[in-house]
Amino acid sequence: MATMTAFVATVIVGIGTYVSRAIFILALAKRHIPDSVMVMLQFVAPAVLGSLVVALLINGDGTVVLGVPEAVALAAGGLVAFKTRNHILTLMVGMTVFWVLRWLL
Amino acid sequence: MALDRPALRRGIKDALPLYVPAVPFALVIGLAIAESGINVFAGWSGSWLIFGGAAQLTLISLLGSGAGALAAIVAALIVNARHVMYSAAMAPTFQQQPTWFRWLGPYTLIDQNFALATIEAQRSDPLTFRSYYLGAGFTFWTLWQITTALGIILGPVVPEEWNLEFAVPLLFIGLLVLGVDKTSKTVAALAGAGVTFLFAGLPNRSRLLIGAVVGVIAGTLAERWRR
Repeated sequence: MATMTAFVATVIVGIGTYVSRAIFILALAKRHIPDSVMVMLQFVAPAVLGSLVVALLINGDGTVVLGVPEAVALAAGGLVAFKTRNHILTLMVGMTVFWVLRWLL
Repeated sequence: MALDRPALRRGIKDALPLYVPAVPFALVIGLAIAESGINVFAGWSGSWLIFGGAAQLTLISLLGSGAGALAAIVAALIVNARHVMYSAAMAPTFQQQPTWFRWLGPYTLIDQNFALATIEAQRSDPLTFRSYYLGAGFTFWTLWQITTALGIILGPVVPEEWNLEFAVPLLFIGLLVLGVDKTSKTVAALAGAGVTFLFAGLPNRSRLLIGAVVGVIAGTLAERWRR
C-alpha cells in the first residue's frame, strides 16, 4: 500500500467521522427539536451501550464468545458499578473475577 | 473562551480511569500499524485525523490486507456511523453552547466522552459542561496520541494471555449501569443487547447499528406504555 493512498484514505475517514459526530450538533443547534424526538434521544445511550457490550463479545466469524468467566465477571462488574458508581473499582473487581475464574475453570 | 477550572480538572480526573480499558485497544492498533506494511506515520495519523479506535483498526487492517482503499474507507465509516446517534443525543445540550464549541466539541465525541457528557449534561450549566467536556475530551485525545504511538513500538511485547481487551465490555457495563435510571432505559439496553446477539453473524458492525435502533424503539415504546 502506497503511503500517499493510505494517508488520503485516512483523511477521508477522518472527515467522514467528524461529519458523523457534528451533523446534528451543527445542523440542529439553532432549531427546535420536537418532544417526540427528545423522548427517543434519551434511549440512544443505553441502547448503544447495551449493543456495544454484546458486539465486543462477538468474534470476527460471528460466534459469541461468552464463557462462564466472562459472564460472571460482567455480572460482578455491573453489580459493583451499581453499588459504588466507581469505574476503577468496577474494572478491578471485574478483571480479578475474570482472571481468577479463568484460572480455576 | 473562559473556562470553569474546577470543572475542567474534574473532567480530566473522570477521563483518566475511563482511559485504562482503551490502552489495550491503542496497543493493538499500534501493533496493526507496525504489521500492516503501511508507513508508520501515515498509519499513526489516523489517531488525530480520525480519533476513533474501531474505525482506525478497521481501516488499517483492511488497507494492510490489500482489500483496496475504497472498501477500507466504506467499512471504517460504517463502523463509526454510531456517532451520528451520539451527535443527535448531544444536540440539545450543544444548542446552548457558543459557535466555537459547537465546531470543536464533536471532534472529541468518542464513546467514553459521550458517556461522561450524557451524565454531566443532566447536572451542569453550559459553562461548567463545556469546561468538563473539553477537560475529559482532550485528556482522552492526548493519551490516545501517546498510547497508539507507544503501541507501534511496544504492541508486540504485551502478553496475549492477559486478555486485557476484556476490560472494554466490562467498562461499557459500568457506563451502562451509571446511565440507566429508569425501567424504560433498562428495556432499551436489553433490547439493544438482545438484537445485537441475534444478529451476531452480520458483517462488520451493522449488528451494532441494528441493535441500537431497535433498542431506541423498544425504550420509546416502554416509556409510552408506562404513561
